[in-house]
Amino acid sequence: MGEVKLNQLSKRFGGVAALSDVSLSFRSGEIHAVVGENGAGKSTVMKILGGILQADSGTIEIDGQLVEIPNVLRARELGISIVCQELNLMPDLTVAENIFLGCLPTKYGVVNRREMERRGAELLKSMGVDIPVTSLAGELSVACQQMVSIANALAIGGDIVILDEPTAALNTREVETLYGIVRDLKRQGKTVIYVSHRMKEIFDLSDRISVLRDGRYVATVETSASSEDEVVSLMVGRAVTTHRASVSGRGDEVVMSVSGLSCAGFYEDISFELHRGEVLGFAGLMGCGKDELVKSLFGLYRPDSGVVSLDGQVILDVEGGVDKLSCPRSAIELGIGYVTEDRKGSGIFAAMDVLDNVLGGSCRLNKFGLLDDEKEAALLTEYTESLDIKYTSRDQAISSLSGGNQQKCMLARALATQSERVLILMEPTRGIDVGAKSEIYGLLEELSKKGMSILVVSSELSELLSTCHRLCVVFQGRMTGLLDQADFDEELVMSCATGQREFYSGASKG
Amino acid sequence: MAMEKRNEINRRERFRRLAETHGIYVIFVIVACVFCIFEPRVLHPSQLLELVDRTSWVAVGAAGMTFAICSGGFDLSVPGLMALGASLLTGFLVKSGFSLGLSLFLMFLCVGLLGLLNGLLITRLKLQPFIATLATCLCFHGITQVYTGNTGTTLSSEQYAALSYLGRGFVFGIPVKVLVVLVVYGFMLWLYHKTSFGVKVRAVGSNEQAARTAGVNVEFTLNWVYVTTALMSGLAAVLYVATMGSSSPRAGDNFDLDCITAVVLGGSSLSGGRGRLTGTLVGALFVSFVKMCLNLLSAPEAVRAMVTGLVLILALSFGSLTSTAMNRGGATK
Repeated sequence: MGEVKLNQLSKRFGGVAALSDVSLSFRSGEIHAVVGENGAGKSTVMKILGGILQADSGTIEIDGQLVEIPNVLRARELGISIVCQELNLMPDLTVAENIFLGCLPTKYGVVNRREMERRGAELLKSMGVDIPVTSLAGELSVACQQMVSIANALAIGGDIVILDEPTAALNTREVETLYGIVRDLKRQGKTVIYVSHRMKEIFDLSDRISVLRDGRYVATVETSASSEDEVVSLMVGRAVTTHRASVSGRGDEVVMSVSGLSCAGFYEDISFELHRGEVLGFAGLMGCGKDELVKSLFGLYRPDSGVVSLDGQVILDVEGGVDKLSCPRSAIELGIGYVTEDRKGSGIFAAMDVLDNVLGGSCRLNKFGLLDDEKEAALLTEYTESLDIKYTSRDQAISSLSGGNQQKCMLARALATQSERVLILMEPTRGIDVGAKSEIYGLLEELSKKGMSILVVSSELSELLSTCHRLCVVFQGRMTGLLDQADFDEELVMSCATGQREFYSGASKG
Repeated sequence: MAMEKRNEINRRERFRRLAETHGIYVIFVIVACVFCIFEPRVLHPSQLLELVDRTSWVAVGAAGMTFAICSGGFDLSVPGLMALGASLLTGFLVKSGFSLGLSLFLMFLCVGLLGLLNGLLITRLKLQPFIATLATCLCFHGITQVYTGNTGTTLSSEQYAALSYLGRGFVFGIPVKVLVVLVVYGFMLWLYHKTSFGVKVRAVGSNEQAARTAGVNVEFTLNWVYVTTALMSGLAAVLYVATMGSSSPRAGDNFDLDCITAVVLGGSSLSGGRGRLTGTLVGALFVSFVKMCLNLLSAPEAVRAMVTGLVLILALSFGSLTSTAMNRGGATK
């Protein structure tokens, strides 16, 4: 039970081939990782198997039988359950309703709520998580929501479980819980298909690894006989080298200085200086206040006290009554640019085209006060070429671009608003693939060489260590470390971020 | 300390929601008191009976509308369906001479099928509910005019005899219509909370794509939602005919707005997923009450429109007004 064979699946979206002749086979009782960069087609394959999408050509065999999977209901009958990466939950339904939605325990159409809640609580307990079944799903933390959607897949009790990037929203402890669940499924003889691009997880968990690239099948390897380097080079088709920030662009001139900045409930008494051409990173655990701190510098939060100056001019002094940072618009006028961490929610205008997304905040007008097409086109070309954004035409909808290209459009938008002083980047590489990541890192370096000062907030420590010149560590709203590049060390940063020690590099002290 | 702050924010958020969903009761009491002080005649039994008349059909129609809005859609065709339902019912009784039972059955069948048509336009042709039902409403009005020759039909006293019990009868001093409305709301609450249909409607309204992925037959569910709203419009038509003893091609005028207003006042979310049927019932009462009072004061049309609009804004902004007042001086923007 649970043998799956995919033969020569192909799928096109409009003019783009998402999959071409992909053949994969999964054995029962194995944990089979499917890896690839974003856009490699892994999610598309999984959606076809889960009945969410239909292949244009190719066949699917389950336990040697040819099957058609026209919809999710059919997939469930075949014992396939899928936890999608982006399709979350119904926020207005309770946890129990969310878990059992596809298979409500009913009698004559009437839901047996008690039975449903009892079984839901049992299931969650067996998974080792503690979530009340009667609370609304929308009120749970993202990690708990993820656990509920996994419970939803398990509730069907199928032989084939697909997990598409299940750990994107989980912390280390929750990832351990998930490992337990996945190994448990394997012990029960089920087929687990595990889609991820986190190498560590794949090597911790899987028995075999299949690699996709650009919608094509590349190879399948036994995990025990392979290495991270091998898998990464199969994924990108070339060897990837670790990136290190060069300090050549950094000057001594102070561009922005922050002193004694506090915002009750989020952060307290933060002081730092940002130099010309410097990339300053902010590290800290989730909820430590670093996000709110940096967002305050773009007018998204209102500090209670403290002073911020830009080029020696005071732009925010709560006690002194100066507030030129009251909203993003005034921050932009001061030359501060911002790229959000929530690209879908507060970044792209999903229904609009590339041109409007990039230049939406900074319309170029002609002498009649109307949009100047020529100027705009020239400007768009300038930015898309310098950032190497790949798109077919300027009226292409931005939602049809890959995550990496969307992110570059966001960066282009921030630059197009003439933010030549300071650029704030929140989670600049969230949800984009390895190749696009290194391109973004390259862009950061280029900008800093040109003299742009950049603040980067990221939850990926390795990213901060490889792109920043200095690092500011925040723990429970207080600064616990300010490190120069020479002192960069993962363990040191983590001990500051967890409040075990404080560390200030000699040069930064003061 | 950060924790405390967040709890505080959570508490405010919860209060804001409470104010949004239950604020209607407070506002209703205030508005009712104001009107009663200015115009004590409001409390006269004959006025209260008129209030029951008005409320009954809006309440029934709004119950169906709550399902449509909860599923993430809209049903703007209810005025057309109600006018057509009333005309068909009187037509079957008067022109065709059918028995009351057969007339009711045929009327509900026709209206239900038209509701299914709404559903199919939305699920098969993938039209936006707003546009699809706006368009069918026009068609239904047209059919009504063709069927009736654009005039009302009055029932003879024999034909009206059985219906008049529903429209004007009393049980233990309570109008039968009130009981009908209560039974309808009891049934709809049961449908909403206890059945798998109810759960699926909420699921689709909450996140259609996720519901599909969870194995919900979205099309099937939505079709039945529009059949439900149509049948409720049919029932509203029955109550209308039972009260008036006649039908009019204009029976459904403003019915859609009244229903939607009642639903929104009741605290349901216009973006779907969260419906509040008890709130809808109070909302229906509220809408009818304001209209009745303005009638009673024989206020000029301009004043009526303005007062209705102001009361609406006041009721709907209650939630955000209270939370703004509470948040003054807060840290976040």
